[in-house]
Amino acid sequence: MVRSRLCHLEGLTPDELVSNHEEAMEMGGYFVVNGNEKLIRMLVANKGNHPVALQRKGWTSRGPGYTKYGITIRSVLPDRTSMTNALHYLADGQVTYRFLYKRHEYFLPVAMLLRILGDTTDKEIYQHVVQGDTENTFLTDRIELMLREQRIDHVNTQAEALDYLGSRFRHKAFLPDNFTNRQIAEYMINNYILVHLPNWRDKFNLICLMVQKLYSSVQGKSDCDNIDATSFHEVLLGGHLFCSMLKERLQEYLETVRFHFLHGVEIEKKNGKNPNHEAILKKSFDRAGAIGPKFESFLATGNLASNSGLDVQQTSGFTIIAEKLNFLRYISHFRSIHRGAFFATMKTSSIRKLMPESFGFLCPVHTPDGAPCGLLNHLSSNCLITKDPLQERKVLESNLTLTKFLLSNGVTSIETTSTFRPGSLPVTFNGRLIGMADEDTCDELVNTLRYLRSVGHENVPSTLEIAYAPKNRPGIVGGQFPGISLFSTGARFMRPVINVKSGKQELIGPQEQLYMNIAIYPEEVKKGITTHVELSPTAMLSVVANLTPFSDYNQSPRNMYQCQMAKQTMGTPMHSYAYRADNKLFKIQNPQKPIVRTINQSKYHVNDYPHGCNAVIAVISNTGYDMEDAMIINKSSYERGFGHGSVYKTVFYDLDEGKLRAQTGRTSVSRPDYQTDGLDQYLDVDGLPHVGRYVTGHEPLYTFVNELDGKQVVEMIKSKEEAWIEEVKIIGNLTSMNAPRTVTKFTVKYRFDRNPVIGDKFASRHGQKGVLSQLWPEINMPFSESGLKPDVIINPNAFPSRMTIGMLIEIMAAKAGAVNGIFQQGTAFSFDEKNTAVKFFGEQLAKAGYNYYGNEPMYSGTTGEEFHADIFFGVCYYQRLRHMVKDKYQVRATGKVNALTRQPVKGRKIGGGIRFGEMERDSMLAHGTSFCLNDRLMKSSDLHIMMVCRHCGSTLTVATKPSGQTDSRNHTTCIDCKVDDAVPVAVPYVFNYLITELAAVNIALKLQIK
Amino acid sequence: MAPSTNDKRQLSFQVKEDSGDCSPCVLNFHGGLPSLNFLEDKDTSFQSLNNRAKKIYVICRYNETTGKVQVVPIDEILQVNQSINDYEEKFDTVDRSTMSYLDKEKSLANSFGSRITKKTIHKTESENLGSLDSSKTKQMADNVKNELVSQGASMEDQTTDLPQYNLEATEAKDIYAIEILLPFDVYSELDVSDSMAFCKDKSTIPETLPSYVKQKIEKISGIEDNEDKEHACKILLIIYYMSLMAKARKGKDIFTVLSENGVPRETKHYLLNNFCTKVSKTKNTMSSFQTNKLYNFVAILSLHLDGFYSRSESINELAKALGIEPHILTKHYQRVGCTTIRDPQRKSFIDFRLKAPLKITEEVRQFKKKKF
Repeated sequence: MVRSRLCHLEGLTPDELVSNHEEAMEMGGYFVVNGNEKLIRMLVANKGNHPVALQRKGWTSRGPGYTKYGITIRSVLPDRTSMTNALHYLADGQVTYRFLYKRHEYFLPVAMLLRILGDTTDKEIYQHVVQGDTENTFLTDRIELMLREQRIDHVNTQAEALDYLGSRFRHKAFLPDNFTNRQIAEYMINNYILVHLPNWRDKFNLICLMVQKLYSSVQGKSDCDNIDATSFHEVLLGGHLFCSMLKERLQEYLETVRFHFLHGVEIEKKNGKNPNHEAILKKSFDRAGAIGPKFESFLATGNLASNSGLDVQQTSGFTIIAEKLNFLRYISHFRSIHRGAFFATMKTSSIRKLMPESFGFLCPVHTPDGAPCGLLNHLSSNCLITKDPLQERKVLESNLTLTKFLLSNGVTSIETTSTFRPGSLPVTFNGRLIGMADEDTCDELVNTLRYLRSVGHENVPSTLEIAYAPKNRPGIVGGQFPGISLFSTGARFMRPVINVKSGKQELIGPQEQLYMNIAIYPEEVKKGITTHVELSPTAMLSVVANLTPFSDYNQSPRNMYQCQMAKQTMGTPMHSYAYRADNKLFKIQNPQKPIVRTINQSKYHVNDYPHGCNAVIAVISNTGYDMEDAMIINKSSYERGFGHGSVYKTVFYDLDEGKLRAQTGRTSVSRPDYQTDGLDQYLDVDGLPHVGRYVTGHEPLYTFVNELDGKQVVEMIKSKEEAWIEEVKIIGNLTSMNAPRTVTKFTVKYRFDRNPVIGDKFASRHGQKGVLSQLWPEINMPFSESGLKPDVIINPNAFPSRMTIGMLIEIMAAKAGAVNGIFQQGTAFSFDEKNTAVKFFGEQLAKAGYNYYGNEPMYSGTTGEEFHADIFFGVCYYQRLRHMVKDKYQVRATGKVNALTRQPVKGRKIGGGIRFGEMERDSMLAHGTSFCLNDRLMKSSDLHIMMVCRHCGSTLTVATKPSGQTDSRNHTTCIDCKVDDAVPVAVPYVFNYLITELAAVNIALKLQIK
Repeated sequence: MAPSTNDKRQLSFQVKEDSGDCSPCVLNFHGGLPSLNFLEDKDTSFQSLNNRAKKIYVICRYNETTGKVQVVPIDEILQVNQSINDYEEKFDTVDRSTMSYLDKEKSLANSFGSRITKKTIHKTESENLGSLDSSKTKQMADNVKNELVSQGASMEDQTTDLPQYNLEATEAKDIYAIEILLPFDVYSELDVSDSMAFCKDKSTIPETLPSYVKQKIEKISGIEDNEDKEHACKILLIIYYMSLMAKARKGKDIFTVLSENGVPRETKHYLLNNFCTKVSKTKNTMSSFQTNKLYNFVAILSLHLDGFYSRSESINELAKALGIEPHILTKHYQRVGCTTIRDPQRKSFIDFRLKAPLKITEEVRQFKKKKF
């Protein structure tokens, strides 16, 4: 991984990075696999070590009596491998515990499990679960029944239950034969039941709590949790996945070695030899195979090959390429978080919904529309993912002391008693029940903890999540199951807010946020109610969404569109162009920093990688070339460099490609006939093209010697587009003595000039995209009183329906900024009703002698007359999008056809046709243009003249006899009717194909000829 | 515990008896009992003040009224293991090493398996026929009683379109006993006074009667014995009733026809039960099987009337009376076990005779299967 501890870029300063031909701001965090920059994308996982109450219809099919109620818990070990267990509620009130062992599900009766986990009596189990709530007959009846029903086969004590469990799993567990049943059962419990808790008493306590929660949700006292909400989520990070993979691979490796070793010894013994253990062991290690290649293939393909499934719901799509189209696209990859490929297949839309629980953690704006909408999200700019305690010493230390601290601050330890005061709330820490706290003291306890967290107390780490679900007020049912859940684990979402009490920054988690009173602005703080204040109202937006100025003035979908378009902009992806060999790179020639910018623009150094240009814009309906989102660009602006850009493509050439290994290296790039071949204008004497040459398609690119006849062969450029040869790189072992003569591999970097042409796409930063419709001569452009002529003209009709007021304000603000020579602040939510943006910038404009609203009288460029209305005229930051006509235009007269149907093939690259589909056909029919329809669908496609026998109507029996010596005409005879009466009929060839296909299944299709 | 500046949180400490390291003492909490967290320390021992290396254990007793905690030193802590008197733990004694893998899987699935596992095992088992447990099926089969067995072996071979017959009968009249053909209730109920009158005075015979009946009355009138005459009349009467049924099948409702012709109650029930299926209260239908059965009965009765030798002419008349073709009726004579007799003088006429012992040949059986 780039910039990891083993990377040679680790710890380098920006200057050193630049001298190493890297970006000064190289962040690392990705892998380079086969020349691609790959990163493991973040995935949403269920929150670890927290029991979640759910209702799932699918659970009813688990067996007879199973209901939709259940509790799931994702047990996460300190090494971040996880295991999901569940409790199921059965219709008769019993509860079973589900766990997965070797990809098979098993269900343990909970009463039996509790008996196994603690050498205890039924009474104690009863007391633990009921907690003095004996008036709740719903609960007591069911627990009584649960305990009664589990009396099976003389299993009454812990020892008996362990023996029973172990005996059943003996054949599955592959443990040594001398293991007792009890040992096997202990192995099962330790490794498959609530694995995050090594202590059995802790497992016992947590299961009791889970049973309480389950009965509470079945009874309706508390509601089921929403598993789709961010409050019950955490992140599955690449590192965690890597670690889980490594763990599994090592286990597999050892198992394979063991198998080979035992097998080897057995064979030796069979052959009557004395086994050489050392040699066999060595052989076994060799046979077990390497672990490394599996990781490589994982990174290269994103496919996870695992026997256990690693407790993730997908097997592919784990890695993505970090595209360097522009800087914004690049960095947003690192902040993107996917819900999981499994959810993309779900028909329900509930999973994609924007939930209030995600406020401040996931950006509500930055999600694509279409298929991945709501599944592919982006972290808010302030959201961070907690580190693992093992990586942070302080957290690890405080983990040890926090329990003590809690017990001395109002929490009664679970170890002291089994029954607590009625109304006590359970307190869990990283999924371990540590005790109960009195209902009345919970508020104070939680507030104290939060205060200490904000001030950095040694016992309370800053990344501790203090989730407190308070008890309902009397008379109210539903809501979350009450309790205090504390988490200091890694991979959780957290975000900073300001603690009102301490005045310091504090990290909060999504689960605790639900019950907190957080003011957006400091002015909103209500004494005694508000406990926290947001750092900034824009904290809820992602990095990219934060770059849209005045986004609070726009209709929400427009901001979403901008988030997508910003990532498609031709910009400045990097500064190290010269040292890169990407397949395709975009570069804009005259980038500018936006005049109107947001705070985050500077914070994330976005201005170091600009992706647009400040354009003088007039919002006017002029000439008609600005209809339907088209835009007119001033031709002189274009000539001055507006929107100019280039595309770099690096093409790899390998002379030995496709050859057998024995035949490689026999030929190399060379030009022995350089004196006679007359290719000097194209090629250098070494046979490679001149650097800096402007190639115009189909001209010599390089020469090499044919290995068979020793003659010089000229290879031509395949691309038709004109390009500059920017760079030629020879690939190979340059340290070798005869390096220059054995060039077999090289790359050529082409630079394509991609200056704006009609049809290229542009967009402002407010989801207002449009195509260039005309490069209008400057002399004919409308002009203002001061003689200013716009760079861009857009149509005012773009605004009413889209409601992108932010763009109008940006134009005003940028105009004021331009005339006053200042960069303007356009961060969202920085203005309000009392202090409006229009007033602020209008006054600036008025002060500079312009119209308050930015309107100006303008004159027609063609007639010189003043327009009747004043025109809204200002400056707006315009982005050039990567969609260009040159990459998309498609023309075809004749060309390749499909051999079977004789219809034109599809595909721009191979000169295919454009589909004239059903809807197009319908509109033609509706329009009554049947001649045109016939032309498109038949004549220009697969016209075929078919001979039909007039007598029998068959097309298959007509045979054409070639003209003889006496008769010059071709004779067409029906073999069936024996008459010479066939007529030509024009049909699409595919119809002929249909007839033959039908004939193959014994259906004769005959035509009636009139 | 450090002394607090807050008076209420102060506590007093008083040694009651000075007895070295283990001296009982009393703690007094002035501000009430502190929160119950004193057991959080894993190490529940206190260090002795005199001897740092020595650890002592104490138990605290809280007195609510006085607000005091009494600390009582103890020598050691003993773990309490719960047990029930005379309870013997039983462990799994089944030797699983000899069990097949499938059996092991089954025992696991039965205890903790999912529905899918259970299904899979069931499927594997049902595919393997050798492992099927057939004892239950056998037991079920043994429990089932064949009720027909008690009705006698002779019934087993009997087909239901014939009356009960006796294969061992030595005389023709015993093959189809008249007592079985006409149960006592029916036989006694039949009123033959009219027939007897007809026999005495032939001129009173109504014209509407079928010619078969007329001929038979003439024949019966020749019988001298009154009892025999009455017996023959009764058979003829029942044949007449049956002919009415056979005809009614094609037209009127059978029940109405029988009622209109004054068929007595029991006879009516007997006829309807034997040869009809009740559809509604008054409506009865005859299936083709029941019709065939009726013809068989008629044939047998006519044989009784004719002394077990029915002449062809008589059969023709009877067929007319029944409203069917004679050749159809002849098949029924064959069906009941008659042998055909061709009179060389009357070439085209075939007579039928019932002879003992009865032989229902294969042909006849097949004939029955064809259901005519």
